[in-house]
Amino acid sequence: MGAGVLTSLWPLIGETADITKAYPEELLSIEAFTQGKLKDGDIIDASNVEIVKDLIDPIAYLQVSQQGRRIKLVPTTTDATQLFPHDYLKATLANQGKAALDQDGNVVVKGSTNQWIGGTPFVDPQNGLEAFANITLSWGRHDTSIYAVDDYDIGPSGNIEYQYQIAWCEKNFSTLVSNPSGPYLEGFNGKLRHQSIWFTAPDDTRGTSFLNIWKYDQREFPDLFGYLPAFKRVRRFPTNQRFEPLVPGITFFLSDAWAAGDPMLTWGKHKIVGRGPFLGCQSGMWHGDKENWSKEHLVHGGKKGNTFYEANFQLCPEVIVVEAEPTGFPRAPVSKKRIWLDARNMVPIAYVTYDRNGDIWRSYEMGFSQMKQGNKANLDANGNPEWAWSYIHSHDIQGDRFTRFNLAEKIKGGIRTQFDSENAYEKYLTVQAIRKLGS
Amino acid sequence: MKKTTTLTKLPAIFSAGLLAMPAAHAVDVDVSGFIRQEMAYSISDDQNPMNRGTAAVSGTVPNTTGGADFIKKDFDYDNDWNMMATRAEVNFTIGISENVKAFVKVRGFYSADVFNDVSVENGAKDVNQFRVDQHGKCASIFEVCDDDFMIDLPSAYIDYSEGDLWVRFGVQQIAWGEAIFFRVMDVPNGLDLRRHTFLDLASEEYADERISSPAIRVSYNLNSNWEVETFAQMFQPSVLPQSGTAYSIINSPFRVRNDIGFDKVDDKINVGVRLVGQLGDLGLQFMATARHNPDPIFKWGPGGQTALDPAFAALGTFSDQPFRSTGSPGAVGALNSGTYGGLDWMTSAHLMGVNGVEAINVLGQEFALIGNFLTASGYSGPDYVNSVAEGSLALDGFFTQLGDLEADIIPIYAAENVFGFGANYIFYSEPDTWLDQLVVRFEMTYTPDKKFSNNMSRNFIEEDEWVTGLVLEKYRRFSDAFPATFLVFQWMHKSESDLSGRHLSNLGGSPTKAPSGGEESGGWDAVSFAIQQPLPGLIWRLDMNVLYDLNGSYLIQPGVRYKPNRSWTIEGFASFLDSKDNAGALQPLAWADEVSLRLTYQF
Repeated sequence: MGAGVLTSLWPLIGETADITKAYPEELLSIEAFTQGKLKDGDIIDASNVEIVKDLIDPIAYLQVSQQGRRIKLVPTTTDATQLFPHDYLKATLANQGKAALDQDGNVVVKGSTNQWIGGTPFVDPQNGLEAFANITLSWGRHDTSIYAVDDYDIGPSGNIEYQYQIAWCEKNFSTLVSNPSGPYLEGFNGKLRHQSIWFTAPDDTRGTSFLNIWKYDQREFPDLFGYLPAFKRVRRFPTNQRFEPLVPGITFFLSDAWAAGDPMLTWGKHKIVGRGPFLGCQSGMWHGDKENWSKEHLVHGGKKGNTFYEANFQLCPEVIVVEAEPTGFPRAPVSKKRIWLDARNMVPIAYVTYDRNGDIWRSYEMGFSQMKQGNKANLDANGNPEWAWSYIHSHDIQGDRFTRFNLAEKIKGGIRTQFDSENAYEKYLTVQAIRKLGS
Repeated sequence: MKKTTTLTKLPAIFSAGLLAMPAAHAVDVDVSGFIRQEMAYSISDDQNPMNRGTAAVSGTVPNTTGGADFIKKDFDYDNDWNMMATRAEVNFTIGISENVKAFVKVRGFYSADVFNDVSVENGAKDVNQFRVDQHGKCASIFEVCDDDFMIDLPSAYIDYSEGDLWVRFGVQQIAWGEAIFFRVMDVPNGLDLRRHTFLDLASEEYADERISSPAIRVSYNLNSNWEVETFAQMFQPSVLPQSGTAYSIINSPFRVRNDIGFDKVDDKINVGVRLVGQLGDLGLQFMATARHNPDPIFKWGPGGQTALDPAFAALGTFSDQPFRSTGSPGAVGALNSGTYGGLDWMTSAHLMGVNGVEAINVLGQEFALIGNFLTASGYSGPDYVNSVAEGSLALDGFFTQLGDLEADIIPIYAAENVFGFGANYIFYSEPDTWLDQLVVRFEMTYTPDKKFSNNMSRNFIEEDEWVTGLVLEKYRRFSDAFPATFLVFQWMHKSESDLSGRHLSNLGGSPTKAPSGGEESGGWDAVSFAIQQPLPGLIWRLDMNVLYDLNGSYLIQPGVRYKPNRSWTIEGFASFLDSKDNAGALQPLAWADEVSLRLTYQF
């Protein structure tokens, strides 16, 4: 089974980037799909959500049907170039068909033991592990990403109880797509990436920093180093506690990152459990016209009207539904995760987890967008519009806590969202760096 | 109210750093901070025996010479509150350019007048908590202070980074090593114990206490696994709780001559280098420092009371020896604020970890007048007295002639080299076993010819000291409903001294028995165990910290932290301390059972 219904998707993307011929009209238009009940520009709310109940994840359905969430319907993106960073799409096309899983389950170049060479390794995943490889090896689809994040944490009262400013930096050492000298960075053999997260506000968390060093071998846990302001020094931490909030009130866990926050072989029982159309956010959520790329004008819903962003959802013609279980984490509070991957660009447009009783627990909804709005755009080094995640809704429905992230232009501490910056490694991704970031 | 300002050097430091600022670059300044009310309520019937108002010995003190007993006024102060303070900290994070950033933290601490002691200086019920004769009248170089408040700069530095190089220039704390609370490799900085000693939340370690000073710190990444770091830092001594304050650990009749002791080293620079890296799964650290030890050792100083020189001319020059009679001109302290009688002497000395008998011999050997007095009293040197009874008899003769006495002691900050090694390793085993992801850290330092206080002698004890620490850390989930529990076990061994650096040979005395030196054999050992249990959402956190000194003292500190929202944090914790005798490292604070509450608003 491959992506595409009428014809294979990826040859079309390779030829013209236009996916229209791969799917019938009813999978490319919400109006056609719902036989006119809904159309682009309409708002999904409690009054009409039943029409699309099967096209959204169960927690999104709960949010709309019971908590006042609104979702705006927008046209399906048919130009694949709007669904990727330029270099990543180019590498994906160039390297199609070259990936294989070795006997351990790691991705290698077919017929060799070489680490993957960049882009989505399995554009037509045939099993759950291949699907997970697509979201694990390169999280942000850039060789280096720095995200400036405005975080709002809403409690059971509906009030914003906590706010943090969070910086996130990830840099791959293999699977590179924009590196002039090839897919690997010299001197980092055996490593997949360095990734750090640090808090720049408020005062009591400022300087709290963690550095994850990922090995390429996905059976191994990352090395974790942390700088806690109270200790004034970097210490090495165990890394298996990936299902805990990092700071009070937040619902984000390390395990949640990109729906693939843990090395993929520390989970098991990966499987594809379904395919079909789905609604998800893939466009129009970058607000370059707003101060600091704010989305406050979109906030609504919840008990106090300040919980959700009004997101643009489009009919994604084909998603691959995959599941995995945390077999490497026997005491994890999670029993299973289910992810909806958009077949066009293999990003997780919906992701839910289940507790140990099998009850649905949390959702982690990522909205993606090309960073272009009218005549405004955030451009890469070659003048192409950048692409990234734009917002995150993380909802613990059992604890009734909700976290929303907005990808901001900048946050306190002078951190700016940027991609492929040359000196990110020295500034943010070493033990020395996280000590320096602390204060 | 007299205030002392020593902020004059700050502009120079910053102007040097700001030279690197590109003229056209917009400076980005973020301001944040908090204000906090901190309070500690005593839950013990015991009071601090080092303070005159609650002295270990008071009332009628027997005079073993057969003369009239000594009457040491019993003030019997009963302090309910050990601390009632308001703290404010304001942080300025300044982005100057892509490679240059600055950070300034201003800390203000005001201590309300809830604690009374007899002022040694004037007999009134007030205390000086913050004035220290080091930099002007304050402890650190950028500090404004008076009896009841201090404002200082724990941080005021500029960071410059370029590629693998990172330079931090300015006032800063430097913390090395990975062991928490047990300071093995954490040797660059001393501690400022004037605020809440070390009885703050144990889980915060020494974040508030570690005392900063101007330094230049340079780090360079040799490659992706190894980093070399070096520093040169202006010497800054540790600051002990001031005499007469709630947590004082120096007996009130002693005046610590910081002005003399610190002046000898105020221009010294401590330097250090370390190499940190990974060798496969093994984390390694190697360090060497050449420093003046910020933790003081003490010797007697001349008392300078010339008024009694004529009266004692036959025995020598009275003012050359350490003691002053509070009843004669030239005394610093108020009348009847001194030590009075052999029993008082022995009791207080052994509480402090000073051999009260040997201290007499030291006095006889190093101060002519006292040697002559002892000889004239029928004692032969150099070991004039050999027991508490003999010593008390000799002392009682002295006190009979002079009344109660005060004395000067001089802190000495000895030069030493410290060499260290550390390693960490994370065990991987079958998931869900106790061994899986168990973090093991080991640290060790070696200080050749380290100097220790020797009963106030100018001839210090000098021995090689080994300090080792072993840390086991584990995160473990005990239920699906609660986040993982953080468990830490630590063991520390010191070959020659206890937790606060007192030589073991001088510990373990009592009012009737001198230290036998037996505490020295086998060194000093302590273990600690900490549990941290966050509740779902991390809004509540429960803490339990236990420190047990194998010499028989302990600290148990249960605590709870509640953070209901971004702005407010409430923390409550209790500290229970005890020691079976004076050999315990925590004996100086064994009286200090208390409940603490902190209410913080951050902005």
